[in-house]
Parts: sequence; structure tokens; C-alpha cells
Amino acid sequence: MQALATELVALAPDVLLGVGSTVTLALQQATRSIPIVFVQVADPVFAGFVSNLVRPNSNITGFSNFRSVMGAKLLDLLKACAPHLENVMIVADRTSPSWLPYFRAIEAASFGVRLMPGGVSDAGEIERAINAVVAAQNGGLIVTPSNVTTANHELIIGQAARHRLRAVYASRFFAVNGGLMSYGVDAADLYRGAASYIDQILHGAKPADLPVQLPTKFDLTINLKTAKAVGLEIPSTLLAEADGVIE
Amino acid sequence: MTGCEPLLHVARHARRCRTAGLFGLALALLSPSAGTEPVLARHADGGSSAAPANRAPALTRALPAGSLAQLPPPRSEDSTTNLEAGWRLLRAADPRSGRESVAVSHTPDLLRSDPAFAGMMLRCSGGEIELLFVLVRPLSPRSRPQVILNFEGKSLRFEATVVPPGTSIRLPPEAAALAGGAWLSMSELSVVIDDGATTKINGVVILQGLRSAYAALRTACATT
Repeated sequence: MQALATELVALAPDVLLGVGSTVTLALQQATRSIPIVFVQVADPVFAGFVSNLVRPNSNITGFSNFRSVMGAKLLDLLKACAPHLENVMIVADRTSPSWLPYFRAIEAASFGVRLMPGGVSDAGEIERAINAVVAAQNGGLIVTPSNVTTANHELIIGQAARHRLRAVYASRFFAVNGGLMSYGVDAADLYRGAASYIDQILHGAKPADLPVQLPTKFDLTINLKTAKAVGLEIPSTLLAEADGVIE
Repeated sequence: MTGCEPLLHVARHARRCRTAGLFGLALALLSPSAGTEPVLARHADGGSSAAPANRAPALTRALPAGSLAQLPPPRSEDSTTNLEAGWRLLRAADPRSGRESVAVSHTPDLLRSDPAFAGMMLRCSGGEIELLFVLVRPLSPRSRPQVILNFEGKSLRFEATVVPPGTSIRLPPEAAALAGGAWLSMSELSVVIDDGATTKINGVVILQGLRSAYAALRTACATT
């Protein structure tokens, strides 16, 4: 990743787009002068990309996909479709700076269930994490967005279906591709915002003057096809709350 | 009267109280023989500064037979400093790198912990802070113990790694993040360690004073 970032910087672009914390981190290490606009970063202050959300004070700014209230909501959704839920595995890319903000937010709301933080970095670790929650019984999954989880989405969704695990994903991408349900920002909104920032930078604006934007809108998407496949009846109250239902 | 006396008629508690009576609170040492492997030994003295050689008999009693070979004589550069509420700041030279290793530790609540549980340690490692639990008897280095942490009505289960030679287990970074976050305002932490081979080890660590201990470790970490 770092070599690719260095190669990109060597092309001397006017601006760089960083997708996710891991990529943005590699870009940050490659340049402190070329403007970088990020999307899909949970906590840019925690990751060290900016010193302050309002005035980033660096060559980096962008669009976060996370707010701490998401932790409670992800857990609530899981509990709503799994009344006997006892063990919750958080599948997340431990090498990504976005992991800890998600973990802290979910941990803060984790009353009445046992959390099993499953930091993963490859397919083998993902399988191991899922097997662990299956063995623990009455388990459910929360999957946070990252390059590792996205690249292994078929494995995660397939394993969840195989073991009839209740799973909620913090990115709509997973629900669209067969995951049970998702709660998170609309990625297209983030990219639209990034395009706007890139346009401003190309017209002379400095990233240091462009505030980091936090998400204000979250979508709940439920994949009824998957729910039926695993024999799960989604409560009508949850369906009524959904922004999108895949049938 | 000590806090143990009312429980002496109960065999299980009496065993714990003997431990407490013999070894008092605790003294933690970083064991140079095991690289950065921490050894937390129960000790009679609550004093600070460098651990003198005449404390060796207490350490002998605290460790199981055969363990003493792992524990070399204290070195002059190894030191402990008392912090608030029973926390100790430990400094020891790492024989491999020659660099100073820094940690803060706390012994367990003896009345509510198994004798095999020796305490909690936060250690500075490469600029990051690691969370370890220290045991009296070593676990198999190949085991992957499951650690359940209970606090404030919450329960978290982690898979830990055994640090050779086996008397401490290291938890993943997210557990260490809790120590530097949510736990700073908590009063106590309950720990269950299950390696699947031996009896589960239960422990309780009082977290009062963790905030200042953590700050002291952060400062020490930045200067080593």
C-alpha cells in the first residue's frame, strides 16, 4: 500500500482522493503537501489525519462515515432481530485506524450482551472470528467497513448465512450484496461531497480551511431475501423503520 | 485485625488470606531474563525504589517451585515507584534491546481473586500501551486463552496471547484502549481467564488511581 501511495505521489497530482483510513494513512505518509480528500474514515482526529475537525490544519480534509451513536444503533438492530442474543462478534480490520472508534462506540452501548471483539486482517482470521461466535452460541455479528471486510464480503456474508447468524453491517454495500441488514451512511453521498471539495481545491481552496464533514444521515437497509433464506422474520417495526428493503 | 480474619473459618478464603498475610500487597518486577516478559510477584513490602536483594525469600514463597530460576536477582537499574491507590510504576532494562521497559501494575483484590491471578499490567511497547494480566503459574505458550472482562454491567470476551515463558497474557489493542478510556473512571474490573486446559482463573482488580497511573505511564512512555 505504501509503495503504491508513493508511486501516486510521484506523479505530482493536484489532489489525491483517499478511500478509507488505511489508504489515507499511506497517502499521508507519502506527502505532507499535496492535498488529500478522504472518504470512509471513521475518526480522522484519532487517526492523526487532522488536528481538529473544524480547521484540519493539514493537507488533509474529507468526509467521515461514522458517529459514535452508530454503536448503540448497530447493537439495537441486532437485538431487535435476535431476542436471545448473548454474544456479539465485532468483525473489523484491526490494522485500520477506523477500528477503535467503532469498537469504543459499540462497547459503550453493550449492555446485556457479551462482546467478542474480532480484529481481523485476512480471510483466515475472519473465518476464525465467525467460528468463535458460532461456538459461543446465540451469537450475532457486527461488521464494520474497511478494505479487509469489503474485500472479503462474500466470505462474511456466506458464513453468516451458513451458520444462520444475525448480522448487521455498517455499510449498505453488504446488504445490497446479500447481508442481512445494514446501518450506515450512504457512500454515494460521501463521494459527492468529496467531489465538491476536490473541485474547491482545484479552484484554489486549501484543505486546511475546509472542515471535515461528519455524516448527518444514516440509512437502514434490510435484505428480506436473506432474512427468508435464514428463516428469520424481521419485526414489522424494524421494517417500518427501514429506508430500503431488498426483496 | 486484618481484613482477612473474619474469613479464616472458610477454607477457601483462608488460603487467600494466608497469601495476603505472607506477602502483603505486591511488588512487581520486570524480569530481564524473559526479555520484556513481566513477572508480578506477591511481596511483603509495599516500599518503593529499587528492589533490594534481601527480598528474595519473599519472592521464593510467592512463586511455584521451579519458577525462581526465571527470576534473576534485581538489577540496580530496575526500580518501582509507588503511585496513587496501589499502582506502581516499574522500570527495568530490557537485556535484548538495552532500552528501558516501563509499565504500571496493580495487584488483585486478594479476597476476590484466585491465588493464581497476580494482577494487571499496562506496559509501554513501541510507543503503544499494552494490557497484560500476570499469572502465578505459567500457561502453555501455544495456548490462546479466552479472557472475559466484566465491568459496569458489560461483558467482553477477548482472545489473548501468552507471552513466553507463560506467566503473562497479552490482550489485543482494543482491550488496552479500554484501559485508557472507559476504565479510567471505573472502580473495578473482573477478569476470567480460560485456557481450556486448567481451571478458569478469576481475578478482580481495583481500578481506583488508574487515571493518574495511566498518565504517569504515558509520560514515562514518551521519554523512553
